[in-house]
Amino acid sequence: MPEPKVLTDELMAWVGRESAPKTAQVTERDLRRFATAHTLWEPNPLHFDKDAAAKTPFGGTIAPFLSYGNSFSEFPHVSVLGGDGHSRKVAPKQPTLTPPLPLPRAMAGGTEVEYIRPIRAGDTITQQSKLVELTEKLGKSGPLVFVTTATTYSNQNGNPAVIVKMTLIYR
Amino acid sequence: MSTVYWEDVSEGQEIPSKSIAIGAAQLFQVSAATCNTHRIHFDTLWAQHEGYEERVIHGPLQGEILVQTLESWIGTTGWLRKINYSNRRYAVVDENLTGKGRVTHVYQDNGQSFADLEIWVEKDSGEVTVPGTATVELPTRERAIQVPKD
Repeated sequence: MPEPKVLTDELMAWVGRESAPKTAQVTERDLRRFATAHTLWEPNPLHFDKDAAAKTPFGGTIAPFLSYGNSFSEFPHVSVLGGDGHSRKVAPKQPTLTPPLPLPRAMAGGTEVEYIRPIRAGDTITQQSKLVELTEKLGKSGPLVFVTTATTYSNQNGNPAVIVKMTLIYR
Repeated sequence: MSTVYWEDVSEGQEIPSKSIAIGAAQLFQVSAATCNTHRIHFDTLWAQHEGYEERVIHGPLQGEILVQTLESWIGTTGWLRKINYSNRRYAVVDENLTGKGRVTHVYQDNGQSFADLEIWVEKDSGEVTVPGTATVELPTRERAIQVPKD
């Protein structure tokens, strides 16, 4: 007898959905602030030192590797925050990429970041996400659904710089 | 920073590990720089209310331990091309964490030279908080890496 499946044909039709593209300017100040806040050991000249970075194969400073989303971040106003400080009441302005799954709990399943070309100060970056994969497995406590989105950050020349795949596991 | 040449890298090789206990001021700076208002990162009482013993290190900041362990190894002549990590366990403020890595595969493709690694963040107890994998592009003695300028 076939197991009842969470991922119906209707839910599977969500695969391939894309978000509306968003564009942001990458400023030197944003990059420096991100790099300073996140530097754990000696500062990497690739993120801080123009003269030293100019002499490397990169030919100048580059954005920190995990800063791709930083130019798009904004403080949520306190009126939309829950008691834990997370955004609560933000009405989605655009259709979400997460299908309406009948599973209440989500956990982070992993982040994969691929670098195709560096992001640099002065770039105009366009961010667009796509639901690329929906898979279902049977876990110990019931069904698990893996939702993978790919977000591409492209530069002003239309060339992809960074592709981030994030997986959320619903159970 | 010195150059790591592809010819000198071999499968099974461990890269230099890097340890840090991240303090409260840096947690605050990371929250501020990323517009992250989540209270578990700056409010001890709230973190304890949620069942943590102390303020929690941001998931992506544990990712930074891996990124920067790799950057320290390859310097300014190699390029991190891919990183994949999963936040499996949390860690808290002032807790000593170590970024480690081991080369799993060394290869060339289309004139470019790469090393794949297994990477992880470890507590002093040996518990792994963030396992992952990475690919770095390295120079050979004949050829520097080519970084797209477009």
